[in-house]
Amino acid sequence: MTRLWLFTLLIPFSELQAQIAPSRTDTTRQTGLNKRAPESYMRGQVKHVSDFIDRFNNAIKAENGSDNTLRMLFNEDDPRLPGTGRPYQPYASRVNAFIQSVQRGKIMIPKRSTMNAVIGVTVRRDGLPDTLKLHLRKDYTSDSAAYWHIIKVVAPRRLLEEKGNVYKASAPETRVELPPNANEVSFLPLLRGLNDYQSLAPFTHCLECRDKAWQKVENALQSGRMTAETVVSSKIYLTAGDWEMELSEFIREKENSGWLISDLIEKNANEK
Amino acid sequence: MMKYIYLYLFVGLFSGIGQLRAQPEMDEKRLAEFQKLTQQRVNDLQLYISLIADKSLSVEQREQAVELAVSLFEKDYMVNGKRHTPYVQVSRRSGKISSVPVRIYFKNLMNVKFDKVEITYYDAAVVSEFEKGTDGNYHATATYYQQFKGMDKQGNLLYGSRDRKDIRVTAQSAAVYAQAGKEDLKIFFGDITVRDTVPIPGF
Repeated sequence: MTRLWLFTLLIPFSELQAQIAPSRTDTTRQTGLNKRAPESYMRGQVKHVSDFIDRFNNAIKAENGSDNTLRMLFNEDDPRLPGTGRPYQPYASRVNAFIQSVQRGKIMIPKRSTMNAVIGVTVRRDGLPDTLKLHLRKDYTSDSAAYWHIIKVVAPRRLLEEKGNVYKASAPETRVELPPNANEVSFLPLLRGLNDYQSLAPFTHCLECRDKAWQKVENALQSGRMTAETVVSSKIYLTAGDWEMELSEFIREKENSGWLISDLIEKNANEK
Repeated sequence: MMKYIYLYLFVGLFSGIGQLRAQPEMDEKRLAEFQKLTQQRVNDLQLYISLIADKSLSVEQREQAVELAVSLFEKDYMVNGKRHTPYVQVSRRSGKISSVPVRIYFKNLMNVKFDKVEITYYDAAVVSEFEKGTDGNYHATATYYQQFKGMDKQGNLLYGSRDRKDIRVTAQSAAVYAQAGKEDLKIFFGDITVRDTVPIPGF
């Protein structure tokens, strides 16, 4: 009789055992993935900078292609572009000149070209929020590894105007938030480095880049008075012939979205 | 003294470069294969997330799905010589940003208050090209879109949103063919940024 009781007690556990360790294939079989066709904006969205470069180069390569493919790489909501109810802006002529120039010259963007960026980083200084602007350049090591480094620092105005000695403060434990698309543009090691090292120095290679603004920010980071929090804006600059394209990320549910041209700079415009 | 510290930091930052020579060099064809492999991993992750959220499954099965999902991520990874754990960062349209470690994120998904959760993915997962970093690994970004619906017992929609997710992908050198004396890359996920949280129209 005692043995029967013991057996009865074991019954519920036998069921549990069967549930605990279903194999990977069992798990996969039990529930399927609920998938549907992508919406048009998902296909149209320029998701990564490398995606932008591919689309740009394909538009240039296309024989007998109209300039529409290139025009689609501009932010169509830009009020400076032609559109219903929009007055004419000189920017529209610049866009036309750019398209003609790159199409005529069959100018493509190399995948591994030097790239520039300007990012806005929210910082907390003496407990108050502020914004730090960093100018970055992407270069490659002899082993072809890509890295971003600081070429210019635009310090928050209040920090620049500050006079007198800085006092040492204990650095609070903060977690650096990820910037949008941090992964692709690899700002992550840089952003985290600002807090890990409390210094801009490991990311600033050129000595001439270490000007007064740089030094002010460096002092504030080292003293623990300034901590980086998150990247709130990023602009990428790509060169195509005599032109520099400014790319910004437009997150919206329409085909004309993602990394798009937000401005054009003609490099030799002043010489003409 | 400060100069030496900077020098040390500079050397530390690029200490990975020396290791690069030990890494297998990847040609474009091989890296394209890794893009495909990453897409499969994204598919696995999507499946595990669906299982974690599926309240019709047992707690044990869902916990196992959490473990499987976590196994796709780097345990801890080195940045600037310091250990970091992969995080999920959610950026709301309101500008509010919150972030949690991936394991906590999946555990939270298990315990959402809704009686039924429906997660839909779109056939639009894209992986950017892999690029070599100074840490000696190859990096890319995988992007996909997800629709989330939380419902009550009657199937009434209580919450709905559509997100874009960007995952940092690292291809690390690993002796996966150790027996053959070859090294290859192994795919791991890093941080995820969840953006573009759009309320479902009509809700």
